[in-house]
Amino acid sequence: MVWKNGFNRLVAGLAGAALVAVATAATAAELPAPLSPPQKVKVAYVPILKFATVYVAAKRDLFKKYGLDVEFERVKSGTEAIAFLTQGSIDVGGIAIVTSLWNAWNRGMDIRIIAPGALEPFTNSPTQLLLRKALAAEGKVKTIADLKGMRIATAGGPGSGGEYLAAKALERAKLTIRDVELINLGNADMPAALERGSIDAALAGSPYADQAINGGYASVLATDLTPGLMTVAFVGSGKFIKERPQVAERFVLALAEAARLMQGDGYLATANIEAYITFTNTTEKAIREGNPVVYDPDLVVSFDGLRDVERVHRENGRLEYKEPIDLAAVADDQFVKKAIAALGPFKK
Amino acid sequence: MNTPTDPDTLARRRAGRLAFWRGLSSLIAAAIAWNGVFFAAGLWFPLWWLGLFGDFVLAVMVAERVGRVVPLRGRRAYERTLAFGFPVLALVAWQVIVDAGILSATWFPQPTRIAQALWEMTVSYDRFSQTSLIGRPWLIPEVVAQSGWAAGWGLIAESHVWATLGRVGAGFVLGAIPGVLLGVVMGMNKTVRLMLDTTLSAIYVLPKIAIFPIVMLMFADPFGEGPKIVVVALAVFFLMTINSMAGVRDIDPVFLMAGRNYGARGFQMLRHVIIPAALPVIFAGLRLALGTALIVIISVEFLRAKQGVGFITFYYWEVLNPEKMYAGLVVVMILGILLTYLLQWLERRVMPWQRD
Repeated sequence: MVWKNGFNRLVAGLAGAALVAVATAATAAELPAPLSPPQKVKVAYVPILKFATVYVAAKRDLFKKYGLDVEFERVKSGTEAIAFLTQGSIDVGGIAIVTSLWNAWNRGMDIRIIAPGALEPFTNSPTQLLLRKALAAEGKVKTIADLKGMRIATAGGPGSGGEYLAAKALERAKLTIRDVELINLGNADMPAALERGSIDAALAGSPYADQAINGGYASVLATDLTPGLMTVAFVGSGKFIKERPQVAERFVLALAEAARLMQGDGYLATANIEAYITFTNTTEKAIREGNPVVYDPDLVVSFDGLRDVERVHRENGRLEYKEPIDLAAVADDQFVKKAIAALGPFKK
Repeated sequence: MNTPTDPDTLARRRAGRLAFWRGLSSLIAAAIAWNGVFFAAGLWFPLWWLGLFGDFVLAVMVAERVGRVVPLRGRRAYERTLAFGFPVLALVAWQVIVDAGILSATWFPQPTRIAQALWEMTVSYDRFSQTSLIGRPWLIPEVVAQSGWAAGWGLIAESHVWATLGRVGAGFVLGAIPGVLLGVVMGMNKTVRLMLDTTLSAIYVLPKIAIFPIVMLMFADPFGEGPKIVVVALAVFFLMTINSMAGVRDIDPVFLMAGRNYGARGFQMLRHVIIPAALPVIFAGLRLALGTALIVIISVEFLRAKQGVGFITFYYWEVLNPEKMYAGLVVVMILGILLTYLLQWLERRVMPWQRD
């Protein structure tokens, strides 16, 4: 009986292994072959967790798997990355979709979104609109509409992602950023500013939002301001896309595989955490305690989201042009489509 | 004026003129050859900086040669031509290099485009941020006549330039006066000097932008004007203290002895001997401090302001409008020149004996 059970298990195991082998062979047949010799790709990135797919792809050798030799350069802002992209000194930039990028497209700079970075979470977003505790306790501010004329801190100056989020929050009460006083303040400084009463509200990210709430300086006025929105993206130089499409295809494929390795519990896999820590200034504790960052396993480039981001920046008077620009000129999802065709749609 | 008639002198002069023109012609020929070789070999694109360096060296040699024959009465005009001609030549070179596509017009826009952007910034009003570059002074008479002085002041208050100048001016005065006073005391009194010198030297080297967040915490309104003015004042204070102390310590002992022999003591000695003798060094320090004040406020405005020349410069970089960013830098340079001239004017008034 024991033998029989063991035999059955063995047969089942072999059959399973054979099925996996066949399935793998079937999938591998559709995957592009690694480039030989390996091709260099220079990537500039702002060291934040929202570009984690590229960190995981590097740390878990997904780039190597497709014959890519990826070099990383840290930059301080997206504008720097745009400058390097147009100069041809880098191939891909991890960039927040902010004013500078729209103005770059309007000026005809040859750079395109080739894959999304992280998405804003659909629920439990780590970025929250916090209200100074005293204002809530005194009942002076009950809704976003009551923030009119008040001082709101955002991380990033005019035309930044922080300003966009503030505009989206205020839009809920039919207010604009001109109806409040926006203060450019780093996330880390927000809890202290709320405690001292030098600001009335803040758009704070994790873990500083929790710090302010747990310290009793603030309460949450609004959250999940832009669920599922693509706020950051991987932008390729026109030269890279046109002259080395095979390299770009494999680069995006590796990003898609990395995004799939970061779904569910995989987000906190040891190898992934190592990648996050290697490329950003975060700690394991902060990653484990914070809400997981959302990465679309199918890397869909949301044109609706892009349209909204552009509209808000345009209405805020941050863009050099008045009419919406053609989104076909700003994003090129051919590589994403090829990657998903090769990998198949993601199944949970 | 006597015209020499001696044949030897005339011959020497003729030979000198001939040598001058021959030398000048050789240099011009060398310049043509240098640029021609660069052009023919297609070296301008990869090695434009080397080409320009060669042109600069040749221009210096031409200027040197011309300088040797410029008569005394034309010396001033010659020196002014050098001082203003070089930046003009540099701008022309910049324009040509970008027009030729050697440098990217996006990231290194031509001086003409920067000038155009500066003009646009000067005459326009940003209705979103409710600011303008210089406060639209052409509207002041009309606005004052219609709505009074408060409305006229509103125009000044909307200006980026006046915001920066106000911060620099207030910080400079707040830092320079106590800095000079403490420096003089430290120069005169060894005990005070021994007590404070090391501490001041240690604090002086701190980057003021790094301590700005701490300065902000000292104010009830950390985002107001107070912290910005104080950080400028701190930068000026330490520099002026150290400089004034050095100025007092370097006074020629003969001056002090002369003062004592004439019966000067205490305040009289300070007013009539020490301060006047140290003033040249103090003014040299003030000039440095003014430059430092401008650098500090521009850096602070980059990060923590909603108005000011530093703010608009960084803003136009962040929203990717390089022409206007360069225009902001030009405004900073103009402010630097104007403030230096203002200080030189003050220097001439305070130290009339120091004229060239």
